[in-house]
Amino acid sequence: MSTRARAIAIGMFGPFVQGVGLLWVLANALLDSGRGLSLRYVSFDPAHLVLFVGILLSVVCLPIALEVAAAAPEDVELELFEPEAGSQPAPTPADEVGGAWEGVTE
Amino acid sequence: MIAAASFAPAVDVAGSLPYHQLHGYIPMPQQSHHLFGAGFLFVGVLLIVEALAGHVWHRNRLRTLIWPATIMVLGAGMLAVVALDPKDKLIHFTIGLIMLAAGWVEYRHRQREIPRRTADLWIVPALIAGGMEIGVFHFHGSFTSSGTVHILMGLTAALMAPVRVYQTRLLTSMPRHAFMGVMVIVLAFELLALGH
Repeated sequence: MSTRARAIAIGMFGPFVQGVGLLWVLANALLDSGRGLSLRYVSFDPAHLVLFVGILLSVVCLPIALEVAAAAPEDVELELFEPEAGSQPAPTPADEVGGAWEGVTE
Repeated sequence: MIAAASFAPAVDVAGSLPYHQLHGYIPMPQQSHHLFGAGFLFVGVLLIVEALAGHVWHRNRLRTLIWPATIMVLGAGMLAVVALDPKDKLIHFTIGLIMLAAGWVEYRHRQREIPRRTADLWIVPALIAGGMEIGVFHFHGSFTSSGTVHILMGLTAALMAPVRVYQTRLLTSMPRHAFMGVMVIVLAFELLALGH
């Protein structure tokens, strides 16, 4: 997947979730138009919450999309968080069990 | 059983908060499910974004830690639910503790303090236990819409365990990483669907 395609996908998540939320709000309004619009209702209604999360995602994802668009292909490879060999502490019993787990999963 | 008994005093103290006096100001149980659903939707999408962005995502330490931090905040929120909701206190308390501990283990892994497989030794059983608690004990034997959604939520949480193991087998795989995000989004919409 190219960095450009990744950037477009990242940038579209927020608006997509907003769209889902908006459709849900409109569907609720059509099906249950008699319901009053209080602050408590808007704060906990799933449709409004999805809309709010979509807005938040748009704000959070936009700078990431721009960074990814400008990045080299090797910059979008997944990060591994394994402790470095030199800085790894002596194995604990839990780590030894972890090693056994490794043998099972590979 | 012993663990459950040892938590009982803490659960009782948390549950003795003045729920009835606070009742007009705190979310109803159904509404708190919706808030948790919104939280899971946010981090689920961010997990997919993390998979797509790779190293770029981790240029900012805050972004690296947002996933474990959110799980810990949601776990703390679950403990708040214990204090405010008089029903199912022990179940909520245990799930809250599991989420706090799983978030902490993931945090330590992302700080490169422990290997992924050591983190999985806690997270995989925690996901299975969480799924069992939500789907079996929280179900209350009722096939109402709420009971059915709780079964689905339990199944989704338990299915995250094999997804986590599958992801660990090839940590460089973007689709496997994104798949966990999809599972979290499914869980989010199940929470949001409760009561509808």
